[in-house]
Amino acid sequence: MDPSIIEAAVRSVPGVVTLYSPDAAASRVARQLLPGTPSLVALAGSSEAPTITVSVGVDGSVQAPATAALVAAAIRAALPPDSDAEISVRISRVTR
Amino acid sequence: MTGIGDSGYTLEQLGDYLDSGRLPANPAIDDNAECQAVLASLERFGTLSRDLVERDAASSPAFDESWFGALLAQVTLEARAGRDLPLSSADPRTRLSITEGAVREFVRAAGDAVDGVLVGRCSLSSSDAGVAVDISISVQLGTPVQAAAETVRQAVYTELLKHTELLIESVDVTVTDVHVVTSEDS
Repeated sequence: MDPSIIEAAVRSVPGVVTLYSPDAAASRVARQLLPGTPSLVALAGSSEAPTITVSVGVDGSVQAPATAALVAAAIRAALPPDSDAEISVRISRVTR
Repeated sequence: MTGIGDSGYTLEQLGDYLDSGRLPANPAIDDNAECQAVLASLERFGTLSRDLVERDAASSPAFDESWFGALLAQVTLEARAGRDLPLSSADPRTRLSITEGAVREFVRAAGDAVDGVLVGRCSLSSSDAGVAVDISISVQLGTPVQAAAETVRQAVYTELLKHTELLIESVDVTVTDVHVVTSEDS
């Protein structure tokens, strides 16, 4: 599974302002050890039933719970139809 | 010491990053929600300071820096993500949430948006009856205190209903300070 496809799907959702690192400490360590920029989509578990976690900043003019639901739906739509992925969407900021 | 939001950066370093126009871009800060919340507060306070100077440029107004320092320390504390507050989802394979840090940030922003008001402290506490929100504010001298507090309370309540699914037990606003535009001449 390509995290960049999921990231693009999340960014395309109306009301999403940006993505944040879902695990800041792990991301910081990865940046120190690895070249390039680590993905802002956290993937865990097996390829058949992955756990996908994203942390998003959303536009405060829209209800945050509604945007969170749209983000989850966009991620689900980007996955293979038979995927049994667990999806976690965390709203980390609501900005005006 | 892991810094703000586990980024490894301190409040002072974030201030320097802001002063440099956020250049060169630092993904460890830019991709960190807690750092961004603190940077947003630093920007808001900077704008406020400039506004006050413009209102009374002749008297060379200046804020008490220690007061601002304490306020920034509080903002830094509140920027921590804290617990994930659940949001409902129709799909059992989907978990939706909003962080406590996000809630504290928009509560603070709603209060700060009220003319003449600066939010000092914002706390959320849970009980069986729901969530109690306690906010302390500082009101600029000359601003009607009771009206300002009520406006803050309504604004915060509206934002909480909009962005969370919390059962709100209470929103209490306490005016703990009056900020004065002091003159360096006096």
